[in-house]
Amino acid sequence: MILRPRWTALVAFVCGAAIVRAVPAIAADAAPPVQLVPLPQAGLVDMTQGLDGTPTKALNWQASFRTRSELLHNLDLDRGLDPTGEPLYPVPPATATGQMLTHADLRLRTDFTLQTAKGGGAVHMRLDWFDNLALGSRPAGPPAAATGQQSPTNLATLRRAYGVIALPFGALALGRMNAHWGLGMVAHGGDGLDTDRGDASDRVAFATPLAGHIWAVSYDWSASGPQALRPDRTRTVDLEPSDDVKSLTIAVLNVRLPLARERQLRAEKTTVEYGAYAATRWQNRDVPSSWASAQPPLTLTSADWVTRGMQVYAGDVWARAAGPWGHIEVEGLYLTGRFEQISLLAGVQVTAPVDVRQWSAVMQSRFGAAGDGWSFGVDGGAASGDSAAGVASQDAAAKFAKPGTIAGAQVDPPRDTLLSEFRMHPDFRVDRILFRELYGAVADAAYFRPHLRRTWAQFGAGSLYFELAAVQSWALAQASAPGGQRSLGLELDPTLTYASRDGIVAQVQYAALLPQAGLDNPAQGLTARAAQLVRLLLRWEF
Amino acid sequence: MARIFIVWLAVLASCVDNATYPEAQPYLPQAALRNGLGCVPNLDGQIEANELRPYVGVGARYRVATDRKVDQAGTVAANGVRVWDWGWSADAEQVLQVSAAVVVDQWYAAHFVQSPTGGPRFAVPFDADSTLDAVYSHDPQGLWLHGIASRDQAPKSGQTLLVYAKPVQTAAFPLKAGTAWQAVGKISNGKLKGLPYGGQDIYDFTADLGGKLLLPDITVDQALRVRAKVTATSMLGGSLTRVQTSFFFECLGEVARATAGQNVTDPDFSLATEVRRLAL
Repeated sequence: MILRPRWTALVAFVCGAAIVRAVPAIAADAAPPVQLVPLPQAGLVDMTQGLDGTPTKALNWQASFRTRSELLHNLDLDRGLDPTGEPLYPVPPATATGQMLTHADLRLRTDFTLQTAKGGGAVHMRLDWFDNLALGSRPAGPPAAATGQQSPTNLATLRRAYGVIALPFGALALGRMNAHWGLGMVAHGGDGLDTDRGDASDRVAFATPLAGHIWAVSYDWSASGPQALRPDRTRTVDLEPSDDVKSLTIAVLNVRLPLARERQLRAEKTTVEYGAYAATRWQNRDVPSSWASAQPPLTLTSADWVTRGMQVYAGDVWARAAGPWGHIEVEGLYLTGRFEQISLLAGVQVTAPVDVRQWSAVMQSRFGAAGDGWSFGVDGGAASGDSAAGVASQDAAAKFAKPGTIAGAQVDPPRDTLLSEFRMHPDFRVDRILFRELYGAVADAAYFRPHLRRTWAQFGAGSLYFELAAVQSWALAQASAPGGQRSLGLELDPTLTYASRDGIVAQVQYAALLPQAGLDNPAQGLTARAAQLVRLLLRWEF
Repeated sequence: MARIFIVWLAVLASCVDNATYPEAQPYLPQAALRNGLGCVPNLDGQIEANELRPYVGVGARYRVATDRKVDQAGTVAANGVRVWDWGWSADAEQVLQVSAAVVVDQWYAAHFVQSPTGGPRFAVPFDADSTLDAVYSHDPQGLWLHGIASRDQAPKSGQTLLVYAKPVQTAAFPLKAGTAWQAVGKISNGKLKGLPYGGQDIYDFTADLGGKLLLPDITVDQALRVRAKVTATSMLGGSLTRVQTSFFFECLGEVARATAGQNVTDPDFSLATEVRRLAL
């Protein structure tokens, strides 16, 4: 009890759960709930969420249920097949002239917080039920006669489970916790209305206030490698410590609680926040046969471990200024390092090491009224690239990309040993078709995104806003674009959103991608044609 | 506003049928994701049939040097592992791209029979100029050479079609140090550069040593040295002998090869007329 005043101060400084929970109610009066900006450094400084000193044992929960329906038209851009014989996007296989694809999915997200009796500890858990389950994808029985749906094999995805302890000199958190930093360009917690993933780190973290800033340090078990059953056949043990991927992060921040920001805003003052981190990740050995093999071996021998010698360093700075005039937010990243050995085959060593040098920068802005009225802004960003064709493939065994392809390996030792393409987080969305659907994320490209918004803060039982964004995108290197030209396309993304005060959000998204020369198929003499998309989102907040 | 309307019209005008439907190659993203590594070395000191499978259409690059001294003996390191350092760089070196192709439509396809156990036949370039194809098949027992044919049916240098009456076993699985085998290939009614040819090729194979092999781009920990000696005797008389030393590795196949000059019979030859080394 003696420690309580200090702890309460830390909680108030960082972000107490009571304050966080109060935000939606406040925000509902000022602006649509969907405009809420997530805490910029989740996982490092929001670890004290739930430690609000409530003097009773408590279980708090939040939930949201989301459905999405989509119509996707001509996302292969009618530009033919790439050199690997595949279109840029799936096409309907049974109808030769088919252009339209459809999709509908749902997800129930549940967040639980268990607080200890005196409020000195808390455990948080996030479970996503039916995570992006495609509607109608598991009919019971023959499709034509199905009268029900089978339960998905993976009923729930455990996104987060971590505990927090209040200490006299800070807060300690341990477990699988969300990882979000700044604008979400690198690490994204996946808390947005339309996000699909969400980073979570198996981490131990400590944060403390000092000299007007929050100082945080974390250690991540990024990958622990193959596990073996213990003799009791119940728990496992990490087979080989040297194959672990470990990460260490040190961060310093000057951030305000949402409530404090709101207070500043009402006083017509500008709030400036900033933060920076330095991180390193390393791995000495690897067992590629356990994760990159089409048929992982049943048993592993010493021969399966290969030298990796990976050491990567990252530095990121973020800043935000917000006031009655609007807000502007920037983030920049530089990443450098080396893979001494890139071989995925046991018993084979590649002579040339691969160096990593990547950078990325983004900016978001909004000028004008946060509530009723018009506002506008200009966003932009770039992610470093190189002259290798396409962007990085998600397939670890992908071959070096051929000119004209959209994805493939980006290093080709000994000719190309520099991995300089940065891939922004897939949940960091700047558009709806080009990067989100075709590229998977912003990579080896730059974009410019002016946007305009009209908000009706009081619209029936909620608020309504209309936004129109235009996104012009370029490949940073001419050879990276499948069409061999820098200009990729202009995309128009109008959005209409209604957010009721009792937690129902309805959003209609439309997108039209007008492709440019960078998406053409010069090898086949085909010009890319426009693609369109309509998406309807409904979310219930509880 | 008018411009927006025009853009909108352009978008709506795109609502037409798919003009580039991929008839031949369906989109299989999940299959592509599942591909992963097709073969993973288990470093058990021997090469099994599934570790020397042909990957049709998958290219391999070789650095090709000519008239080069090679070290076949290597050195034995303190840990007892033999090390061959073939990582030297050569001034005049060419890159040879080799890939296997299924024997279906080639002009010579009908002349080659199936392997003893029915494995599919495939062709790989036989010479550095890729004017000749060697036709192989692969099955659990071995890698079989069916013969050699000119890639074009009527090349300027004259047609070559040398078909063995029975395929020659060029690898016997499991391939491991300490094994040796002989194979005989008989040719009748063949053609060599447009001229009639008949004869008999006697192959002597010896897999004798294992060790680490250093190449310019990669190093393999368990290379298996396989020596081959072929004595070709023409029906008209006269014979020709060639010796060759190859290094094999699980999943990668032949990673290096040195070929001696004609009628050099010393298996420990030090001057190679051609050296091929697997490159990235």
